[in-house]
Amino acid sequence: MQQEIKPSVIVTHLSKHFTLSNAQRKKRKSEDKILKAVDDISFDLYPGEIFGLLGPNGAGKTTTLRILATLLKPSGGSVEIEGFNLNKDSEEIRKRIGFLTSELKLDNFFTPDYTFDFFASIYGLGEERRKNRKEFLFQKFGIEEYRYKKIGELSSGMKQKVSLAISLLHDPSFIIYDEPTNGLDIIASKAVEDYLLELKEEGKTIIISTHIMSIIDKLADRIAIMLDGKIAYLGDAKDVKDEGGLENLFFRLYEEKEGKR
Amino acid sequence: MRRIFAIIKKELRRFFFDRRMLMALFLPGIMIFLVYYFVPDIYGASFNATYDSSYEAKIAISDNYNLNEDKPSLIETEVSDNFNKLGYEVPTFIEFNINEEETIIDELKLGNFDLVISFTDDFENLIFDPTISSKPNIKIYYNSASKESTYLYSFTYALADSIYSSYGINDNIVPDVSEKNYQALQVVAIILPMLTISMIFSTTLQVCPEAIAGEKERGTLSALLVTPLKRSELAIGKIISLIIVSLVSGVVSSLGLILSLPRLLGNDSLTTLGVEAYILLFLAIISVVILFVNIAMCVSTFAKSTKEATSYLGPLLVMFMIVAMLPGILDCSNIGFAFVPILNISQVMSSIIYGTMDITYLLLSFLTNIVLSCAFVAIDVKLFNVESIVMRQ
Repeated sequence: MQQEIKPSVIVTHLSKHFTLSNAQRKKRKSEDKILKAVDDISFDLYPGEIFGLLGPNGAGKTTTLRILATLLKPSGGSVEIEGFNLNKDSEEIRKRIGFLTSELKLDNFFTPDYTFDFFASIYGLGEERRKNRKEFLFQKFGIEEYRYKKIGELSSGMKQKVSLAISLLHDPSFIIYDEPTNGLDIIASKAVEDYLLELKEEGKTIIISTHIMSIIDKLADRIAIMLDGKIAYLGDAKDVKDEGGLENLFFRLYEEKEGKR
Repeated sequence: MRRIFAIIKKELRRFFFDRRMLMALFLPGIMIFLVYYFVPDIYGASFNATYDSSYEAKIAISDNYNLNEDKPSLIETEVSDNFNKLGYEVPTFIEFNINEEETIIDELKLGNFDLVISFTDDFENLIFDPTISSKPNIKIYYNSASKESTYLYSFTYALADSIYSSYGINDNIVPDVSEKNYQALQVVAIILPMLTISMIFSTTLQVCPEAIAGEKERGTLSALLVTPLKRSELAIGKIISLIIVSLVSGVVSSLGLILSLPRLLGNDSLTTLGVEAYILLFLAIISVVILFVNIAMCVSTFAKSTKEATSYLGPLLVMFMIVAMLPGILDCSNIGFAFVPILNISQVMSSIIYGTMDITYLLLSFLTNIVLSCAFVAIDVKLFNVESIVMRQ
């Protein structure tokens, strides 16, 4: 069924290299001047699916997501999002994506209410739509009570909820989330997970990167495991179960890479 | 345009609703006023000091005040009577021929006289004659480097004003010339540009790193970079808002300067320099504010943290202070210096104080700073498009 649908995101031979300074090389205990953060990866994403990206720290997950979010330019390969080329049409792509990462913060000085309005004006949302989206998302993530408090005064969980609401204010068709349940309690995490499933039902394309395997297990339709900038595994979630479960698969791949098997 | 406007609104809100930022914006102006207002006391003698009652003052007075009768002038009688009443040593009045006025003024500069009063011919007869059309005049010269001379000037000025103004010809008889002390002016001409420039730059040093490098550091810049906002829009929005913020601070600094200058120059009247001079001074400050914001913006865009940006801007401040002092020490009035940023505005300020302002020099200086500012805007927009710089964290 899935094969009949045209992919909304096409990643082809994507690479991202960083030039390391002497200090960085020393810190990494490496002689290599170039760090291949993402090394020739290819995958497609489809509307109405959740794609889970898994990997240890430094595997290249966040770099991949940052490239998809147009924050970083690829060193090689190509990315096409909903028919737009990442290098040429980044502004068009940014209108269509909702991006969330722990490194991306909201200004502590402002209130969630003001921040929402500010980003709505950047996205060009009209008065009526802005109001409706704000009411809907604030209610969805339980922000109403805190809407006039400064973001700096909110708990980390509430900040994450505000970030989630902001990332979705323009109703993006491609959602890129790096650790979306970071800092959230079990109830809020559940609410986010449920909402992601709702968004999937609406036909959104969703890519999630997280350390929490249970989230990937629960939500993802397809899974990619990244190790050292490369995709070590790419397959359907149901196939992972045949491999003995996600955790087993992940550690088996990891140990193979480390040469322990 | 809508997105640039949104950025400007957000930035202005950020600065004008933050108490710490408000302090940074308005404190320099208040400091300029306080420092300049009290500096004269530090320099002591020149300004507004108390008068020693036993001081034996010598006042030179031109002998042409009454061509028909041989009697002391009204002003001489009034000064003597009032000094007597106050219990002060009565000044000695020494008459001189009006043709020797220039020599007498030189004597005043040397300290041989404390005050020089000169009249137009037959002043005291003509002033009380309501039928004459050409008004007579009185000039009171003093030396602002001497506290006695300054005090005598204020005292005599007030008396002359009260005696002659009652005859309805006040406008022409009040003293219209005062001889400023060159040394005192020189001190002001060195201090004023240096302090003003350093205080204005201190403001940009507070706001610019916070607005760019601070956002990088806090991770809030990335949140903007994933929106449809163009990086050039972000840069321009930031620059415009920071110019507005710094201009507000610049206006406050200018006000501080305008209110304190008369006292700094040894006269408590705001008309010491004239309205045009204040407007020119304000223009000079505006151009320097715009330039500073754009320099600080480029540095802040390049830096990865507020601390790093401040560490780059700190030495620049010292360099600017040194450059700003130069026109007070060296002759930088050559038109070529109008093309040297910072120095040009410092020279403009000095020349305004000396009363030797050249409008061509000012316009060229203003243009130089604006052209340079535009170049920095272009550099900043470029920096915003360099991934390794804008994503530095």
